[in-house]
Amino acid sequence: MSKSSIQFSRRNFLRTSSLASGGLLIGFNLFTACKSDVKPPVDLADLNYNDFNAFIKIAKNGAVTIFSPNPEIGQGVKTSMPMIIAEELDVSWDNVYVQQGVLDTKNYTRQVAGGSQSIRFGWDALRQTGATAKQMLVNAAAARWSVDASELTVSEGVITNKAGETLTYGDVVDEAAVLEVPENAVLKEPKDYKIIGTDRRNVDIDKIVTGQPLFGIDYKEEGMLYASVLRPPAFGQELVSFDATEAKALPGVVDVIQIGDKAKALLGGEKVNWTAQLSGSGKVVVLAKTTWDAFKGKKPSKPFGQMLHL
Amino acid sequence: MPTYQLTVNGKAHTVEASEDTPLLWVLRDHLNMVGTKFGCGIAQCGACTVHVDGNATRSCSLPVASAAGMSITTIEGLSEDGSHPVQQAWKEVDVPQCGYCQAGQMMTASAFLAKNPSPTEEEIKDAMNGNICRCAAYNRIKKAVGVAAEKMA
Repeated sequence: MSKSSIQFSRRNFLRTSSLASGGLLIGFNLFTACKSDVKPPVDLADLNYNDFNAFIKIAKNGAVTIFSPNPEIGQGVKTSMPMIIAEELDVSWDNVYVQQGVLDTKNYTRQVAGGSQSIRFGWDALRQTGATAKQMLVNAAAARWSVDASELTVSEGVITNKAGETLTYGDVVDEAAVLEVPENAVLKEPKDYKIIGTDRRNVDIDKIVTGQPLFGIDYKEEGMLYASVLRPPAFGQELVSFDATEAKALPGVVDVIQIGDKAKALLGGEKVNWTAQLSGSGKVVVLAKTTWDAFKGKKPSKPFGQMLHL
Repeated sequence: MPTYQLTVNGKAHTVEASEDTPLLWVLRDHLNMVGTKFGCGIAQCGACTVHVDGNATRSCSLPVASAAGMSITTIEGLSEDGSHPVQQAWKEVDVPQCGYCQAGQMMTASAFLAKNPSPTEEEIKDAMNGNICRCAAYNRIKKAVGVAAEKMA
């Protein structure tokens, strides 16, 4: 731990904009440098995870919203990654709101969890982002008071000058948004940590204890169908044929289709990926109006299809 | 298709479903109450646990036809505002990791404590034995059941 600069190019990892609705939006990248020609949007509806894979909004009332693209799968990143930002930004954890970034497979290529990498690779960038954002807000306050930024102190989102006057982050977000991104942000010493290293509750705890929608299986769309996949019973087996007559006659079953050809076509080629390697066999999918209808469609009285041992 | 009268969290519902449809899918797909979770589908994991006339019951294996006319309570109805002692204890202890099994854990715990308000540690372990947690939050689950019991005392 040191005050030394970090390894990646600071010039290219963070950019800011003023939100049309007021407040400061910071776009930054956790794993790669930013492109030189993009700025975060002025409207939250236009968040694009191709240009920046994470965003922070600081509203005029001082509330901090962190938009994180990394999927929460029980490893705690929806809580722990924002904790790191909040630490260096120096805000009260109670004023931080965490919002899951949208699933955007077109624009965002690394929206996955795996290999215990989120914190390991995000650590420097998250701290630097928080520290840089803090420095911008301090610089804005310094300009307002016509003093040197080094004379100011910060605690939990409140900036104090030598005379004891204070400004909150919310007071200066609009001014900060138009400043140059500073390159001299100083990281906290670990002994000064107030959030990192402490035990904070899962940010989704209220939803979990009251049964509110949270998981993929809880997603609902008007008129959506439910799919159930019938896979070969053993690894390495292949679907030869299937007869969907009986399944299609069941109430609620809308269609029966075959998938897996795309993955199979990749096998043996140069661009074969791990998904194809794991699932390069034909599969039968029952589409139905409810989950139970789809399950029943997978279990007709006669054997569904023939499986070939390879 | 037959229709069934269900009382869920004190509210009457009429649903149209085949008689073998498990209560779980009636709750999730027909009534859009997704707090009750699908785990194994064969009553082995406890993720789908609800109260049927006060008893902890695996909703994945209870046909809707058998649930008709009974009083069903799900995690959404354990309390109006998340203030049931079990919910409070779960928050205090910060039990969940991913949270997927926790509705079932809390429904088992609350039905158990209603019958045994001051359990021993062994009794808690026995009562919660049928609810599996893939994150292995078992120590916190056990602790939270004890905290909830203290709150109910």
